[in-house]
Amino acid sequence: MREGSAADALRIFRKEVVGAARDRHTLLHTVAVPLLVYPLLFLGTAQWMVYRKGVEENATYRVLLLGDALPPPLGEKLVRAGGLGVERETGEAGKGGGGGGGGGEADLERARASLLRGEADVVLAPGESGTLRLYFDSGGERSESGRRRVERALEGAGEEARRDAAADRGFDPTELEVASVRREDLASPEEAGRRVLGALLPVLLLVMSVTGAFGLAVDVTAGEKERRTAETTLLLPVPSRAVFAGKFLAVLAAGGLASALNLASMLLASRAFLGGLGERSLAVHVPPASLALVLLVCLLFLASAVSLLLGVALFARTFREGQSYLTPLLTLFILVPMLAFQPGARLTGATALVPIVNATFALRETLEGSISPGPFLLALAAMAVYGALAFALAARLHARAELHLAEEALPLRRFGAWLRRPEAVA
Amino acid sequence: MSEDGAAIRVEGLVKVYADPRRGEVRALDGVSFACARGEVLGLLGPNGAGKTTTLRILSTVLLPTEGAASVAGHDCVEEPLAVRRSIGFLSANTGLYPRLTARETLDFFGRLHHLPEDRLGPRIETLLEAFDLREIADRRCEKLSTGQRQRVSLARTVVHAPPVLILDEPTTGLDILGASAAILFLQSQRAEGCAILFSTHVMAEAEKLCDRIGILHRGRILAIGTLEELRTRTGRRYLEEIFPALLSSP
Repeated sequence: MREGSAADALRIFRKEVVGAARDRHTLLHTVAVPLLVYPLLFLGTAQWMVYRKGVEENATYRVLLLGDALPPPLGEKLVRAGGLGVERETGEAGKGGGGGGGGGEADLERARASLLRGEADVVLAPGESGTLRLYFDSGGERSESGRRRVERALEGAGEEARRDAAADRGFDPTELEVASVRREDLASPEEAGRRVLGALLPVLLLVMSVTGAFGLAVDVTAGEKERRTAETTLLLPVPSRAVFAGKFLAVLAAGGLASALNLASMLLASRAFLGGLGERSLAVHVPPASLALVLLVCLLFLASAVSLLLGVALFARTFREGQSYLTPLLTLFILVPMLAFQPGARLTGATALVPIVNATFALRETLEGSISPGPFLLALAAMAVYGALAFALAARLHARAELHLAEEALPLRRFGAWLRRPEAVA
Repeated sequence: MSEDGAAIRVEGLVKVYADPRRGEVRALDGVSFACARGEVLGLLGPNGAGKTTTLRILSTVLLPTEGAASVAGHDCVEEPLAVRRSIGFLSANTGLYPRLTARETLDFFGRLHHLPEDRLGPRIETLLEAFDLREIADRRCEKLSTGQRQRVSLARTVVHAPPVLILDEPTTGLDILGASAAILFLQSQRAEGCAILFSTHVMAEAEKLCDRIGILHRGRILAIGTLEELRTRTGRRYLEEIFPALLSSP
């Protein structure tokens, strides 16, 4: 672009930015959602998990012992373990476990009835050859939690019994263990934290950047037609490419701003959330150089995404129509990174060339601090090339006056013709 | 300007486009006319006559299928940017950017027309004064009344003092006072030597303002001349009578 055109593009950019800053809809998509909603959701989930953990720990689960499922001393130990209300039922049920056959069937029916009626969360019955049957309902939250609690209690009781037996015979109970294992994590807290960020952030960042660009992309295309300013813009005394470049830069800036805000608030939220995990030491710290790389990847990804959004939204006549045209694209930008995020999948020579996937993996490697230089550079180059191609095609479409003047639905079958033979205004 | 001094020159203009329902439509079928500096040429015609298509070709928004058009000596197909820099264009479809204020609108258009910084500020102040916009200068256009918006539109049309004005029904939506002010404004522009091409439905406006009048019907110019020439040709006095007489003549 010539110097004069670049200056004109910047004037258009400035005008679009001023307009966007005064539009609540754009501000919501570009600033409020990336800044607030996801971190709030993130922290909300953490709070919910803590709350659920507390509820689970304070709950008392009803355990029904059928027949001689547990000898009384073991039953006492279950009660002492806490959080378990143990009831013993004697009768026909529970008497056949040891020998198998009909008693087992009766236990099953009794357990099913108790669980269904909510009389018990877990049912224990004698099994074959001195084993124990534990009946529970994995579809029920209380029953599932009760099962875990009972298993832990039985494990504790077994451990206690082993210790007592070893003490009676006068040897150290650890001698019974084949090997004593002590875990040593060689990853530093920073490395562990970055691995968690690498797993959490890439998809959200890409989604946020496209969502941030979405509203303004519709506003500067279909929105212009709806406001009857499309012809005003067509008549501006600057080349069509400069007008498109100005709009492109404004939408790119919106997406970039959304990415930056989302990254900042997600990092803060992650620190608050990951610091509270307690079990394992995690430190959320990403060096400034990595943050700059993250933003670079987001911008390169956005270069093609924004052109695609603008190119498609040009066909819409109203803001609402533009939103419905772009929603499938938004879904694509959400699903592809999610599908690409498979365990073990990395940035390679091949994945570096796949649009969206390359950005997802490049972001992950940057956040994790484990960049493979060759594929990473290839991914950046591929994103730059795709961005330039998408820009050129969208700018060509933008030069078609009939797309701006259309008052009726545009026949998509002419898409190829519009792309091939630009009826350029300038 | 063209060799004969015409600020606007249109020769054998044809525009054919494909309509999804009607098939191939010949919107313009050999339209020719010229408009000199300091002249107001009115284009009259019913809906679908081809007025807006003609004005859009002259403003470089549309390309002609055949024929030639030039504005201020610049070819509309070959030099579209030079044409757009030479015209002030206003129609019902050239709305104001709603989120900019009146002052920002004038500033934006002035800068895109590359007005020097030292001239831009005084020019904006002059226009705010001339169009009685000072009180609403810093109000967003979306908050303005129809009349106020039309005044801002007229001001932004002439912010770069163009030698040619192309106006498609500029008084649409204005009340009597607003329409009178617009007419006065156009007369002042003519006095400054501006060539004005102007389409309207309002016959009285055309009679009052136009030096010459072109009657457009089904993509053809049926007649063009001064009001006196049209009266002589049809034997009718008022445009309301002249217009149907021309439409019904063979």
